[in-house]
Amino acid sequence: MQIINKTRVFAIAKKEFFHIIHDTRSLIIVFLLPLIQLIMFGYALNTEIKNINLGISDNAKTEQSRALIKSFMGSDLYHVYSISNNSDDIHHAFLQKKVNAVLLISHDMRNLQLIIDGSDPNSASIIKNYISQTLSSGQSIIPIDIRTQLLFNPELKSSYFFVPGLIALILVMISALLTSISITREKENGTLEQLLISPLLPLEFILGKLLPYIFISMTIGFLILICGLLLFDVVFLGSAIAFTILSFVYVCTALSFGLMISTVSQTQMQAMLIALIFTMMPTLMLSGFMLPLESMPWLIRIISWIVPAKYFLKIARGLMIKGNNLTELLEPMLFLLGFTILLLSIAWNKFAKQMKELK
Amino acid sequence: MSKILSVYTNKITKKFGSFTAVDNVDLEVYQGEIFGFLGANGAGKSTMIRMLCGLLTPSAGEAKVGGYDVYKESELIKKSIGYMSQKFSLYNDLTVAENIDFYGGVYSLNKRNIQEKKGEIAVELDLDRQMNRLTKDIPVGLKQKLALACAMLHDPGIIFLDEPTSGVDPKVRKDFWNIIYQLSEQGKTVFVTTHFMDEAEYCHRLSIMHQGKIIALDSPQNLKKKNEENSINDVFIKLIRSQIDADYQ
Ligand SMILES: Nc1ncnc2c1ncn2[C@@H]1O[C@H](COP(=O)(O)OP(=O)(O)OP(=O)(O)O)[C@@H](O)[C@H]1O
Ligand SMILES: [Mg+2]
Repeated sequence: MQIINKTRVFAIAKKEFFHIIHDTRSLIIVFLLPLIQLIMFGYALNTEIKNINLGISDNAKTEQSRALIKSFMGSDLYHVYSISNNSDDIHHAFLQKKVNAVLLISHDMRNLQLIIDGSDPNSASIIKNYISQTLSSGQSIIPIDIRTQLLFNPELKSSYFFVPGLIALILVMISALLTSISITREKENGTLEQLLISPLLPLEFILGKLLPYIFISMTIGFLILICGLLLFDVVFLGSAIAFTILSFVYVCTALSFGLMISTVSQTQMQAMLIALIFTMMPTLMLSGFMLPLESMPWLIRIISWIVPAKYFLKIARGLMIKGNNLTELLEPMLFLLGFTILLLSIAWNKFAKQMKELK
Repeated sequence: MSKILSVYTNKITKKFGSFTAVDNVDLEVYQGEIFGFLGANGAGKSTMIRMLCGLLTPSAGEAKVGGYDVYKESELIKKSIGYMSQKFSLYNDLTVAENIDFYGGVYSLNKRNIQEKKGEIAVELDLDRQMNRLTKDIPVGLKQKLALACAMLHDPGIIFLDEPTSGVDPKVRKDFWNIIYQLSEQGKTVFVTTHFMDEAEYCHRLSIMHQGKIIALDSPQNLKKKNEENSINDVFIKLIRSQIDADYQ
C-alpha cells in the first residue's frame, strides 16, 4: 500500500470546506434544517399534558376525602370539578370533553375508582401516571397501595424521552446526506475525472472528504443539543467532554455511511434519497426511539443491533438523563467505532474499485 | 525538431462491448511536438487521449507515455502528464485562487511553490485582480486558460488537451494557441483534439481520425500537398468522402 500524503488529504479537506462556506444558501439550510426538524418533531412528539380536567365524585365527604381533593386542587396540573356519582352524568362529561378523568371515592373511603378517557391511549397512560403520583405523594392516610415509582424522570416528561432520540435522528440524517452528496456531485460535474488522473489515492480522497464534515456535523450536534435543552427543558447530567467524544464517534459513523452511499449512487438525487431513507426509517423504527425495543419481535431486535442510532440513543439518554460517564458508555461507543471502521473500509474499497473499473 | 520519443503506441485498440471506438492505432510522437487529432463527433479522439492518460485501459495493443507502460506504470504516468478534459474541470463555486491552491495541493506542491505559481499565472493570464472572484464569474476564455494553467501546475512534460477551445471566441483561441506554442518551445509535447479546421493547421503534425482509425497522418503542409488541396478543410472533406465511398463498396 502506498503511503497517505498529508498535503493531498488537506487539499481535499480545504477545498471541501470552501465549497461549504461559499454556498451561503446551503450553509443556512444545513444549520437551520436540523433546528426546524427539532422544533417540528419536538412539538409533535411532546405528549406532555399540562392540564388535566379531573372530575371527582366524593361520596364519603369526610375529612380524609376532602384532604385528598385538596391535594389535587393544590397542583397546577389539575382543574378539579365536582361531579355526581351518576354514571350517565359521568358518561356525558366524557363525551363533552369536560373531563379527561374521573375519580370516584366510595362512601367508606375504601375504594377509589379512576376512570380515564382512553380515546388517546398515550395521554391516558400519562394521566394515569400523574394521578397515581399525586395520590401516593399526597396523603398516606389513604389506604391505597400504589407502587409506581419513576426513576430518572420523576416528572414523566416526554421531552426526556424524545430529545435524545431527535438528536440521534437529525445527526445521522444530516451527516449521511452531506457526505453522500459531496462525492456524487463530483461525479456529475466531471471534476472527479480530473482527480483520477492526478496522483491522489482513493483513501486520501475519502479521508479528505470526511474531515470538514466531521467539524460541520459536530457543530450541528452541539446546536441541537443546546436548543433541545433550552426549548424542551431537559436536563443534561453528563459531561460536555463525554458528549464531544461520543458524538464525534457517532458523526463519523454517519458520515462514513454517507460516503458508502456515494460510491453506489450516480446522481446527487439518488444519493439524497438513499441517505434519507436508510437513516430515517431504521432510526425511527428500530433504534428504540419511538417504540421500545423490548416489546419488539426477536427478528427486529436482532436487526436493531446494526442500527447505529440505537447505540447513540443509549449514549444520549445516558448522558442527559442518567448522568452516565464515559466508561459506562464504553460499550455503545465501541460498537459505533466498529461500524465506522467497517463502513469506511467498504467505502474506500468500493471507491478504489470504481476508479479502476473506469479504466 | 528533436527526436526523443514521447508517446508511442502499437496497434492500440479500445472496445466498448462489441463497438470499437479506437481501432489499431499506431503513433510515434516526439518531444516538443504539437500533435493534433482531427475528427468528427464520435471518431474516437477522446477515447484515444483517455487511454494515453491512464483513464481507460486499452483492450489490446501497446502504449508508452513518457517511457512508461500504460498497463503497468499508470501511477508514474499520472505524475508526468497534464490533462484537460473536454468537460470544464475546475470548481465553478471556488475562487480562482482556491482552485489553484487545490490542484497544487493534489500534486503535493509546497505552499511556497504554489504561491510562486499563482504569481506566474496571475501575470501570464492577466488575472491579478480576478484571483478572489468565483470561477463561474470569469469569462469562458479565461476559464479555459486557467484550466490549462491548473493542469500544468506540476510541470508535466506531456500535455493532453481535449477540445480546449470549444465554445471560445476566435481572439481567445488565438491566445490559447500562443500558449500552446510556448509550451512546445519549452520542450513539452502537446496533444490536442479539435473540431476546428483552422486550428488543425497550427499543429506540427495532424492525424485525421474516422471511426476509430487514423486515415491520414502528416504535417498540415504535406497533407495539403499530397491531396492537392488548399486547406485542411478541403483535405478533410476529400479524405472522409473517399473513406465513406470505400466503406460502401
Ligand atoms: N464509456 C463508453 N462506453 C461505451 N461507449 C463509449 C464510451 N466512451 C465513448 N464511447 C463511444 O465511443 C465512440 C468514440 O467516442 P469519443 O468520445 O472518443 O469520440 P470523440 O472523437 O471524442 O467525439 P467528440 O468530438 O464528440 O468528443 C463514440 O461513439 C462513443 O459513443
Ligand atoms: Mg471527445
